[in-house]
Amino acid sequence: MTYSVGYVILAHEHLRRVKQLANYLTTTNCPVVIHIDQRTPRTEFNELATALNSNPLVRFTPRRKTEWGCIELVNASLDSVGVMLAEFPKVGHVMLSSGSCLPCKSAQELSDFLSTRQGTDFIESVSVENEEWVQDGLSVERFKMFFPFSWKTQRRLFECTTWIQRKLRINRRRPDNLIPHLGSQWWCLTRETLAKIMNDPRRSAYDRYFSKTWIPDESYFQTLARKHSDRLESRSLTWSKFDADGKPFLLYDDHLDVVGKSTCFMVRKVWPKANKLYQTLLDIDYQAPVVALSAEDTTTNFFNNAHSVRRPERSGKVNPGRFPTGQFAKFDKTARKYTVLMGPRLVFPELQSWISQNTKTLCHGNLFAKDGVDFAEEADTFDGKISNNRLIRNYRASAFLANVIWNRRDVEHAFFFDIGDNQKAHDAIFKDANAHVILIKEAWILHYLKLQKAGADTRSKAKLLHASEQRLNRVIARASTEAYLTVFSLQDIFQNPTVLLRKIQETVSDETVSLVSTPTQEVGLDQLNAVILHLRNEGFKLETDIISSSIGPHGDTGQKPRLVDG
Amino acid sequence: MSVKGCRFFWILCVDVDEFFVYPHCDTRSLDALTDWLDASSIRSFGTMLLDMYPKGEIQDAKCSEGEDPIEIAPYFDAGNYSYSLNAKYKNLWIQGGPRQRVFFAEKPSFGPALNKIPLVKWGRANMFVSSTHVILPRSLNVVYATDGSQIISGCLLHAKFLDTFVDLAKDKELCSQHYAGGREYKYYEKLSNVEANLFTPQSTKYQNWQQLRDLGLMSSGGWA
Repeated sequence: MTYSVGYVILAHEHLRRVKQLANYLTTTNCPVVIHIDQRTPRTEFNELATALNSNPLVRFTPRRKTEWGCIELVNASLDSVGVMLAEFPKVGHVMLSSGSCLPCKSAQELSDFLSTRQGTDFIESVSVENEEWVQDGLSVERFKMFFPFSWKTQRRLFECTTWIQRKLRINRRRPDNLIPHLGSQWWCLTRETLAKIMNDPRRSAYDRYFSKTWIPDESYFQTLARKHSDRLESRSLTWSKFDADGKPFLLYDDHLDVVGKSTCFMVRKVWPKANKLYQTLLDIDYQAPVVALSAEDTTTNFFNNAHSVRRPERSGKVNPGRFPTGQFAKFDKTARKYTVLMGPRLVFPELQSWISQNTKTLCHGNLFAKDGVDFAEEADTFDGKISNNRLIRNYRASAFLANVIWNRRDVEHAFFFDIGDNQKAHDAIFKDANAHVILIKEAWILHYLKLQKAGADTRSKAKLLHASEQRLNRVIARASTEAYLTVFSLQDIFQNPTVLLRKIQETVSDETVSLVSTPTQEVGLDQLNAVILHLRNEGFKLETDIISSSIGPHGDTGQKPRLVDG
Repeated sequence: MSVKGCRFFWILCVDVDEFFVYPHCDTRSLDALTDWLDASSIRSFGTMLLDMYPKGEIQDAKCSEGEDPIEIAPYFDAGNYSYSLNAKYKNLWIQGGPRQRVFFAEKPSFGPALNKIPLVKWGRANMFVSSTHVILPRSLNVVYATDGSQIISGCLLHAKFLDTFVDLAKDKELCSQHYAGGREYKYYEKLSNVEANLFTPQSTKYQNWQQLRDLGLMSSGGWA
């Protein structure tokens, strides 16, 4: 080995793994200085000490109580660095690592890498004022306030003191106007820089200052290296990533491939029982796959996926680990955009086949029909084994809808929903921001006309239908309505049906194809006018007026977004 | 049901016909899971019971000793489940699947509960209220994220529909010991005159945990 790299290992548990790591490193001629937490059981420490005592390249430093986020971790590092510099004069770079780190490239590779970069410090060091390095928690405040209490064990006191200091606008004076920097606590610094940090005449002032900041192990060396380093690369040679809950991702045997592709030299944090990972990476003959050092770190990309799962995303699917409540339930959407056609089918009975022919959209019939579920292509069951049983559908209408969309989230859906259908699904549809509803106002008149033709009792039916329409309007007017609404009046439809058809086509598919054919219109204008007149005489107050046959300048084409009428 | 003497141990409580599937179960031991749950301060692990059934009649699905029942009954319903919240115990109430679809088609609200919490960090004050469906204290039932993200969760493959189910349905005394007097077995009896076949072309064949995750039935949460 030509260029010598020393390793400082800070550990508090799983000392068996520390022993393995130290043995590996010393076999490759790298000196190792180990610090073991004071609270680690004496027997465990003794075992490690005896095993490594005869090894001339291993030193131990006095044990301190290194609690998470406290200054003692920095002191332990300083102690160990002191021993390293004094006892191993050939060491050019010192690598700080933990007991759960593993080299993902051989130690030889790291020393080759560093020998060509002598005098360069590798430490992630980000100015708090410019960058958001902190994922969750205090950033600038770490340096402004005093933190006498432990966040882990004295949480209440911690919260209290920060709260009070925030109120008092405490702003500590920084010695020598140091510019606070933050970064990963795992660094690799040169002998020169470390010596300058250790022997700085102002060191005692710095130590006093940092001892009352929060998590100083993420800022002490990061800040002081900026003061002393001649050449600093702001990146860590140790791969480490925090998950959405703020703890480092653990590495397991099945991560071997991912870890091998890392552009870093060490990885943390390894699950202590990951036997294969330890065996493979601590094999003297292990050769990591060649990765261009400038390449994007695929390891990080891999773990980013896990990040997104823990982010509040509206996936449109509940499962045993996801059930949004309260505000989050209110805004929970289905899996993708779909179209609900309320009324158009009463004008154009063949609209379903027309949509299926002219677009790629999966067009169902009346999904919520009272007498059964009308899936696309009249299927008995839909993907995901959703049955066409209307009782099961009615039992949990919103789950039914969410399942239909989720199970075929590879296509766009459209379905019909008319005044004669089970009205339970209204809530589910209108609160869903993914629903695009194309609605014909007072379409119930058309439904009534249909019933009248069939010779049913009319007056009582008309009352019911009218009441349904009013209920629907109330649902739409609710504050919780998130659906996108396009409203047409009966007048629009009968005077210029192509406007509606074009809108439907536009909505259900992204492509704008010219209308090849138009479906046949079932209801005649004369019939409709007769019914409107009849209903008026029966005492119903209608918005729709008698429609003249001439195609006038069409007023409301339904282009207005969210035209809501109560 | 109560478990005495266990204090702050992870316990896995499954029936003989339930097969526990958790994220990475093909490469990582249960040890890895519980270590990770500990580190994440998660004390209970939620699952969904997935009723498995064979292709063909249930009575022909014989599983001899040493055979994998999931290979004999490898099909399940992938996406016809509904979720609601039990306000009293804060647990999820999952219904759906082949039993609701076939046995309770006329009374969907009777569909059996499919939510289970089989893996729990057991403390002295804990108790199962209704099998592993509901636990006390209530906080253990909150195995789900309420903010729209996903917490880690799994599935229990339920190898219920083998030929043994038919024998059980015939034994009236045994049936009555089950939930609500063996309600579902009574339904099955009525049905057995017709061809009892839960399989349809829309059924999904079980492959692995990744498949269940992609179907949205479970989640690996933040465990990468």
